[in-house]
Amino acid sequence: MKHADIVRAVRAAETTWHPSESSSNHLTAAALRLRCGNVAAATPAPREPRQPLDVAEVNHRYAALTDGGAYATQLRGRGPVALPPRPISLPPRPIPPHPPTPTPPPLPTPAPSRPGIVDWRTQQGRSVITPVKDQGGCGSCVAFAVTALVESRVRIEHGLTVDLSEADLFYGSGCKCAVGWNPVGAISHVKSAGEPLEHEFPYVDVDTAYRALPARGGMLVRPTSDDSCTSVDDRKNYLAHVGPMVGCFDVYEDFGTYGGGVYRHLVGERVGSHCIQIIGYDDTQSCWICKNSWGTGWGESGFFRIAYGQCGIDDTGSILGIGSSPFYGVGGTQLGPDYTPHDFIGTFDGSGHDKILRYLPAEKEWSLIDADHHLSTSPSGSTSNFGQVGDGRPFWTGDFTGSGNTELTFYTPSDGNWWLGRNIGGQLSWSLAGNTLGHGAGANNFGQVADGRPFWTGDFTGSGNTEITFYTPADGNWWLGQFSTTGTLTWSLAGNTNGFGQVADGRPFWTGDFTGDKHLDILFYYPGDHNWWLGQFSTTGTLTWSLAGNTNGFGQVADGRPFWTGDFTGDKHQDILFYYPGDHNWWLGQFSTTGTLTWSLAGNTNGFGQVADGRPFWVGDFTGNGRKDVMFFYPGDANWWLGEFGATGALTWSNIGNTLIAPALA
Amino acid sequence: MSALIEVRVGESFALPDLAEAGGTGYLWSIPQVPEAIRIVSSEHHQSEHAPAGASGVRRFVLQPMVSGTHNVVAELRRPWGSEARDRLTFEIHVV
Repeated sequence: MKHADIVRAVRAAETTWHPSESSSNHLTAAALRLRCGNVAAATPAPREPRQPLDVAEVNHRYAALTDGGAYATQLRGRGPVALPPRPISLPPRPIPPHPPTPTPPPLPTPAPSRPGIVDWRTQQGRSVITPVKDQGGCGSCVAFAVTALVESRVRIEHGLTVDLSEADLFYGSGCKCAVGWNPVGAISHVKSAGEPLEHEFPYVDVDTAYRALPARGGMLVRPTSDDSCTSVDDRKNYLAHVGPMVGCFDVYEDFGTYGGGVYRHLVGERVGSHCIQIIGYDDTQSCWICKNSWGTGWGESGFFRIAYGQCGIDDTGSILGIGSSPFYGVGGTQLGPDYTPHDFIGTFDGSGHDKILRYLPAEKEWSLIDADHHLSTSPSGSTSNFGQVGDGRPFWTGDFTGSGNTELTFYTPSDGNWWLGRNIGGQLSWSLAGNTLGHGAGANNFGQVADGRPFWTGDFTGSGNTEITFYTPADGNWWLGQFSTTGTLTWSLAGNTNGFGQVADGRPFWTGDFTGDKHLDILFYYPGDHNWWLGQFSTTGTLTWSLAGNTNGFGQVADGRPFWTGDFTGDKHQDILFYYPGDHNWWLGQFSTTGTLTWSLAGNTNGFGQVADGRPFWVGDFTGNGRKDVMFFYPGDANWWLGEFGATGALTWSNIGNTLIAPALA
Repeated sequence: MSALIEVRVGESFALPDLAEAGGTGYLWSIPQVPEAIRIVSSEHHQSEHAPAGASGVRRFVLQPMVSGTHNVVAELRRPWGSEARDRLTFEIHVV
């Protein structure tokens, strides 16, 4: 049936939908006559060189667009090249009368808890529906519908927006464009094989050889359960309470002209079956709300509404997805490790307040999350050309160049390069800062520094910038890395601890401005002799170690007991605090300006029972008095206790509240 | 592409079956039919039990009314789209 005839018929009919306002619907009368077969005004098309008709070639044109030749093979031997005149006596086909519009099935009485309208584009105050895509000329609608279904489940279950690969699902299962698929097979495949992201296997609408992806497991999304609903009532309940589904229906010629409204088949013959995502229903208009895979230029920006019972969508005759089928849902989506975000906190974008800089390994994309009164996320660059940087390599944050913003640096073990990420215009801009494998300009050859050695960052020299220091276990050297304002990283030998033996033996280290000189110091405790050593950097970067104190009388303090650092007494020096489970005493270590460490009994929690039982502790200036406090929560009675230090270091505990009515906090 | 078909005046004939899948939105049509040619029928054929998205075939049956050589152009396009995905020209030599 001619498209123009369909459009005319739909416009003439009293129906609930309208044809699209496509260019073909806006033809001039003359152009419309041309399109409708009146050639009186037609300009003859330029003749092309005559060629004998080759049926195989004709069909290969289509097959090549879809199945890479399989359809042409099917047609091979179909008959003579030039069809002989055949006594076909088919009568001209008039436009069929409008088929009776099926009466929608009687609506079941809605369950009290089920709303009359459900639309997962707005359900729960946010959309869980991913953008409309276009399957093109390939019969891969099932892969698009099931992929959309899995993407929505990931939104619902993990709060993540993912763009999954229809090509991986479709071609990875051995499907061909001309053959189509069914939802049962697609769901079964994605449950067993999982589905990676779109950029790992981009979609093309022609048959494509499947290629196995390296490191596939880390990026896979895999639903673990599925459901099917046959009755209209069950489908609505699922849509209302669980999430979107997929379903299939028969496609008629007039469906392609749909431009909006509630679709009911009006004219034209059946031209195939189709699978789509069902994203809701509307009992006030008696229709399903659906997301198609024909691009946003079709229908209601790619979506459509179809009346209950239309085109076999509510039939349940076959489970193979033949025109009609149950609706299907999936759940229990499992994400590969590449979906675990790497979060960093800082003032990355110069806004003056902290944001979360998030790297998602699966996407290889960075985004800034702003939680200032409302949550918003903005893209902040890509490191896809670096390969996978979320492979366990170390990252550090700080104001390395003195820009006033938080910057990010990471080290690449494979080539020894150090990269610096700075926010420029809302996007992370990466530059090569230096190299520690010896082939960077003017760099030292440190060999592989990502060998488990410890790194610390901070303003060690009082430069005002964040610096980075590491210790080399092999030779006992300590190196200090400083960034220039332009982002060049230079390393200098700061000191050596050869006389200490091997300090990277698991002993605890802390950093802080213990002496109050606005330089970050390094403190370690040696369990062998209970000595505490303090490393201080000069303004020129020389590291000098001094014996700060001893805890001989305390027994072995490196026994797993908790330690905290902070300026607890408000003297602008970092102190060190520990709790001894054996006697419930709290000891505070304070440093003089010359680096001498003195311990004093700060307090006791005898009446609390054993507080080192795994309960959470936090350190911060919770009262705003310029002194760090210690807070803990006791799950046993939901009480919150705050420990405040006096200027002389005396620790006093007070009960600040109870969250028994909010058990989720436990 | 251009292809040649030789037929006699008044005798209906079918163009080669053209694969199409309604589930893609792409359907074959003959937007401009020469005055000397009449479209007898245009039908989609597909198994009712084909999977979702599967291709069927479009069969155009034409009847030449006047002798001569006439071009029939079939286009594979979406009704809302501006671009034809494929275009085939059949040169009908009517004797």
